[in-house]
Amino acid sequence: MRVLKTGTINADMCLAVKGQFVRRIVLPVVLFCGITASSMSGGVVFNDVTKETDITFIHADGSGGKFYIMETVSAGLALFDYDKDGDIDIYFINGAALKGTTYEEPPTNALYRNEGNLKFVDVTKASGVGDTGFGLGVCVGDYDNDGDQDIYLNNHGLNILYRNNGDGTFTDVAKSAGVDNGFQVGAGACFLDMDGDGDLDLYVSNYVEFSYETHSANMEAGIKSYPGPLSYLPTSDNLYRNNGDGTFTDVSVDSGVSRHAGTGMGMTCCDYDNDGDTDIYVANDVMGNFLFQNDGTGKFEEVGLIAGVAYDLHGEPQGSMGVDSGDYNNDGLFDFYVTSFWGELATLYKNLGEGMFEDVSRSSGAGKGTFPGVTWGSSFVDFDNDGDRDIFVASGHLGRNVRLIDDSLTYHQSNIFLMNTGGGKFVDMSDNCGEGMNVKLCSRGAGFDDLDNDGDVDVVILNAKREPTVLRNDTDPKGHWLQVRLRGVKTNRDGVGARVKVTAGDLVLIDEVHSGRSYQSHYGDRLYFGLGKHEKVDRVEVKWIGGGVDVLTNVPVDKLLTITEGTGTSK
Amino acid sequence: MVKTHKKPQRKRNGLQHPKNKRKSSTSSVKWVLVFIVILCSGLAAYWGFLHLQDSGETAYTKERENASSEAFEYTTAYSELAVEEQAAALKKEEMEVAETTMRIFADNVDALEMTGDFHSRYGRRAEAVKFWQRCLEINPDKQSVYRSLGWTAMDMGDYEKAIEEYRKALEINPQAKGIHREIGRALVELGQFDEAIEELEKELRVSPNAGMVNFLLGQAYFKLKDYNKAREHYEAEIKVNPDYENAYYNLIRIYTVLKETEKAKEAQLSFEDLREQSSKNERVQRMGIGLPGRDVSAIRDSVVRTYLDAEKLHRAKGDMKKAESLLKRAILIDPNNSKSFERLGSLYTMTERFPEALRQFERISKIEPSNHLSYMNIGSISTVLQRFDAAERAFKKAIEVAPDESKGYLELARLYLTTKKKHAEARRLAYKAVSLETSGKGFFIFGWACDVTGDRNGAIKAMEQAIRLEPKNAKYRQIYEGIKNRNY
Repeated sequence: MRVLKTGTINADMCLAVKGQFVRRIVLPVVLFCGITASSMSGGVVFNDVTKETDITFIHADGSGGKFYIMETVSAGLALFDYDKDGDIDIYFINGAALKGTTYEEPPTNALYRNEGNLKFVDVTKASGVGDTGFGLGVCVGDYDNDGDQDIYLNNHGLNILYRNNGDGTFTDVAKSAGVDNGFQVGAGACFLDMDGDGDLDLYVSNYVEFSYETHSANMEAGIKSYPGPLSYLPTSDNLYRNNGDGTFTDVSVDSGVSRHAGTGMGMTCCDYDNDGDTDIYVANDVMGNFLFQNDGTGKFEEVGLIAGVAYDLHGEPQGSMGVDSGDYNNDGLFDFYVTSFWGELATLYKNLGEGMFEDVSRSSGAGKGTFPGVTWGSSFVDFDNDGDRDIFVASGHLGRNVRLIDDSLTYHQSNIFLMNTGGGKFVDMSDNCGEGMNVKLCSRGAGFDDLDNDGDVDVVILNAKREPTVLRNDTDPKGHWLQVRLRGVKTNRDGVGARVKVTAGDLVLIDEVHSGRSYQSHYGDRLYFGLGKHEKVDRVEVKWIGGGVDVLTNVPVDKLLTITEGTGTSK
Repeated sequence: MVKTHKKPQRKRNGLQHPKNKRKSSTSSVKWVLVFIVILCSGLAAYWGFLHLQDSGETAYTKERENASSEAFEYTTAYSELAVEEQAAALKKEEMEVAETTMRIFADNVDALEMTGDFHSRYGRRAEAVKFWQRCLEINPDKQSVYRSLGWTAMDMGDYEKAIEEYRKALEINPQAKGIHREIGRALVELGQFDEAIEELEKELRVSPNAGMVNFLLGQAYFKLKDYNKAREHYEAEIKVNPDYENAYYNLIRIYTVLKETEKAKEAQLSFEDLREQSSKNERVQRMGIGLPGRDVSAIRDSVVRTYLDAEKLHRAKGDMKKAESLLKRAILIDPNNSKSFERLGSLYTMTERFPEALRQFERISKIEPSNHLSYMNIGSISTVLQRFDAAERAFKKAIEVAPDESKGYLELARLYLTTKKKHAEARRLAYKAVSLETSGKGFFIFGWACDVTGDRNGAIKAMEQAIRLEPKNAKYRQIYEGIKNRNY
């Protein structure tokens, strides 16, 4: 169901005049006028509020004219409540000097605390999370189950595990925890409870085998350009089992994961086959994507090819960048959306059930607008709370000189908004949803969360070599909504991997708590459910990893609901 | 008066007088000597002839060797520069050639098309489209330009535009191969599967064994959930294109849906093998070292193309001198690009500079030892130059490198018939030629060979075939009548 936005003038009239009489007489008239305006505006509105946020972070990609591949793929970002004060903070990942480059002051990652009203303050130094390594991917999770969220950084170079000290500061314990991962080119990372033992394990995706000694820039028609992943050998990923004592054991071999060498980038974890355990999807760049099916004990079988998610409709490997999982058609099954290189459509894999997927990018319209761009961070998010998940895609090319190679390409690219019109179809509304979509930079990671706690999901985008973009969601009116925050007790404290099912009348929505997703980023610790016109939620069911179930009924809407494991009615 | 005294000539019983006897002996000796002289002269002459032949051959061989080694004595243009500078210099030169050509041949449709192609090769799509459109303003029936516009639109994901351009190409030539397929491909991308099927079926009617058509039909039927039809088409694609990994990928999907598990596993094995190999090949090609060098090769290739395009225009205008100079420069740009030598060889042939033409085709045979056409050209020109042994060797080589190609057999047969030797072999070769490819010319030569080997019936049948295939060829009819009326 689509909620139409009224035009600006009419909205002001609506706000200014109060009372039942007005609502019954004026509002329909206003809505009628609004329909005309809204058919032009598209329903969802994003406004660029970056300058108002006081965020001064500028991304550095470490480039110095050598065209190292890492420069092009940095970086992700994390949205999470690091200080548990009830609002979402932002952690930006940064590049660093590479061989042949120097900075006067080494770039660092940056943590911005949310002060409310979309104002942020830089607390990097105070918190101790200003890593100076070459950052690529991040995930967040309470790996030690002490009640606060920790940060894992997947770098080019040694990885970092920032343990949250609970007082606003962090300590790097990667080495002692056994997860520094050696000197690799990192990519996405996810915490997940792969074996249902109540603590978070860690999957670390690695990109390519890189060395400065064998590096050579590409040349295309005499123009220097970045080499692609096929210029390197693929490499396998790492899986670490949480020992429960603050340390991890590398089980890459035992789990079956290390048998498969790829060019891992973004990744996501979810229970795609609805068998109660968490599976793993890794987007591989110009290689078949991996879908690791969990047997419930942390042993994985790679089934991407058979499942139909390794390649696109034609059987071609895509330049896969980021991947998100979500139920776009509300059929109770998780689908995947994978972003890609220019000249390719971003791919929507519809879950058909029984472990099979189909590339429906063309017939659904979910690939619209993505062909000319290089697409990165994306997500299934119900931006207008109408009960179905839309898709937002961050876009930006690799090199500044790309136009010299092909004049139809641009380095800076507009982001894309695909509105879910219901029935499994999407429409490209990028030009019709506010001035925030006019921002044209070289985007990479993106995060989606309710930054101003107003019931709708906003967007934060990391842009290569520039300031980020913060888009406030000003969709109005929007449908009813429910936000759910989970607190594990027997299971991991963040409820990572738990499946939430919300039923409101004939509307049935599912989601899971993810740690690490999309393009090498993290967001969505709170789950967002758009309810459209439904004014109450009949039932909220939580299936925790490990088997426990909590059910809540008759839940009021338009609020953040925190569900602690064991406090609901058992099924 | 002094009387001369004549010595009496006496014969003694038939016996000559001793003095007379002496005279006879001398005469015989003379004749013997004369005979010996004549014999020696003859032998000398023959030896001299042989020597000259050899000399000719040796000189020719030496000339060939010199000529072939010349190819590698060229200094490749800009090779002394660093790779990036080479690329820049080559591109600059190519731009100059393109701009000059456009100035000379302003509003020439071929020049406009070629300039568009040049810009397109370097990703200057907007420029390319401008030139192509200008070309169409002058000549709206240039099908190849609509194809280029269609291809460009496809490459940019503008499928509706691509279809529009391809349809215009079809209006000009509805039987053109490949266009329905491209429209079908665009329709698949647009999710219009029924329409895609319609177009692709049309392509199959025009071109039954074209690659990719069955694959795309398979895709369309798969999306329409007609899995049996989809399977049929993917399997047909593999028959035409046995290494097409994407077809196997889609068969895995089909067999899985149809629950044919064993077949799915087989398809998976084939797919994985092919995909691994192609990935490896692509990785080997791309991995770091030498890439800039490969890019320079690609640029050189493009520069040569621009020179060849310019040469075509000048040749069409009749400016052979300019055409020749352009081709010579193209050779310096890339001495390993056989196309330049091919064009130069054809130019020399046209202008009857046969020895020079021969040198070009011989160079091609050194650059590309399996180039069938180069040997055919060497053979033809050697025949013109009456170097029949060289011609024979060349045609034999043509047969060796392309044993399924009829022309080599045919021309060798013709050579033998023309030089009136190896008639039986000529007949065998001509027969082989017509069994590989039926043609009027082929049957004519076979008929000729039958005629000279005394097979009248064979000759008549062959000539009848020749006439059937080329009914307007008066020569065939004339020879046919001649054979029929001749007494063997």
